[in-house]
Amino acid sequence: MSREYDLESLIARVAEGDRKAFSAFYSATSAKVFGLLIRIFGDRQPAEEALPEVYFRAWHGAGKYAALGLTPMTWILTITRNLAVEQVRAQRGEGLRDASLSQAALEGNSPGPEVHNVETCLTQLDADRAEAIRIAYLDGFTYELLADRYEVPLNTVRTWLRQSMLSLREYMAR
Amino acid sequence: MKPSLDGYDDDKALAAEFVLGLLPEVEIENAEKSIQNDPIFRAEVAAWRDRFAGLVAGVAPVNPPAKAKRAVNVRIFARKGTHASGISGFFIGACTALLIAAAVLVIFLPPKGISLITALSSGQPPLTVLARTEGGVLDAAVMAGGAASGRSLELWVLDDNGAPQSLGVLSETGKLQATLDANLAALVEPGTTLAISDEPLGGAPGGQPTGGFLAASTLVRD
Repeated sequence: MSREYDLESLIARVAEGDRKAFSAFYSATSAKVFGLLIRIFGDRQPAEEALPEVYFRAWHGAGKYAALGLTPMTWILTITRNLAVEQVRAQRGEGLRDASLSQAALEGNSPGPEVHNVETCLTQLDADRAEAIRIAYLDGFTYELLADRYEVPLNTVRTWLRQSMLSLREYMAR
Repeated sequence: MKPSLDGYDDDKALAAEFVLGLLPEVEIENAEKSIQNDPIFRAEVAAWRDRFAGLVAGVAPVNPPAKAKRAVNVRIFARKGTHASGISGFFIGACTALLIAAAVLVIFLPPKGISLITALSSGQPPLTVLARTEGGVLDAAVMAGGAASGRSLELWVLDDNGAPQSLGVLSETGKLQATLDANLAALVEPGTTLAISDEPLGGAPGGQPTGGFLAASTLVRD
């Protein structure tokens, strides 16, 4: 966990405009960030284009980091995910219903050794429900898209996902 | 229209929906207020961010190319201050990239006889500069356009931390010849970012660009 400590102190220095600290923070996090961008966009080119914007937001948001109560990796990955999902959703357009899923979402991901047991806990949910949570996070699916995908009314899909997430929360708390 | 759950569970589910960006506009506002005012809800939101971030554990890390780091530095440190408000940072970035394709051209030859070239551009006002270095000597010249009245153009190289180091100020006739010291010469290699800025007459007084860069681009082999 000393690594997290290191990243935290780097973020604190970035908040003060320390470029060397920023450079170190970039080196420590950019492979994970870039991997997630490629995963969400499904392509390298838009990932490369979005990368500067992620770190631009990090540079300017570092001052507010401490108040958020997040770990450094969760913080930078949240910035990354939200930026990429904003763009993916904008490209899909509101009326578009044929958002395609990347293969990775359909197959699921192999759980990493650390971080959380979220993947393990997802396996305790029905496959559909686990997939819905995964694609809501990693593919930015809205309730409209989820309703279409599972062919259920909007309100039903919302109830369904909320219950799934509460179950997930319970499993993860065990 | 929210599906009913008991109040406690409702907040937990709401926090999850907020983190995923699934809430309708009206509920987003309420959730943001709760984050401000309700420490329990705020902690629940943070916990959900953490839980969902765990999904990234299964995503393979990919090292970005070296040029991506330079693009990051340009995005953060080569700020252009003259854009209209209301345009998102992303589009400002895109516009800057487009501007870079338009008007300042710098040709650069590094010490060891290797030719490097880069095209910098500024659409407002249109500007074209050619520069060359050989044996540690830098030559630059405006080919079209020029500094605004009572202003100077200054050429910079971004170091490994993205910090601009001055290469020199272009003269009133739009020319610059300078012998690079060892530190500057060491920075000049393929992939290095050069940038040009608009400065008070005679150049940036504090050794750092006073405004933003007009254009920035990376050196490539000629």
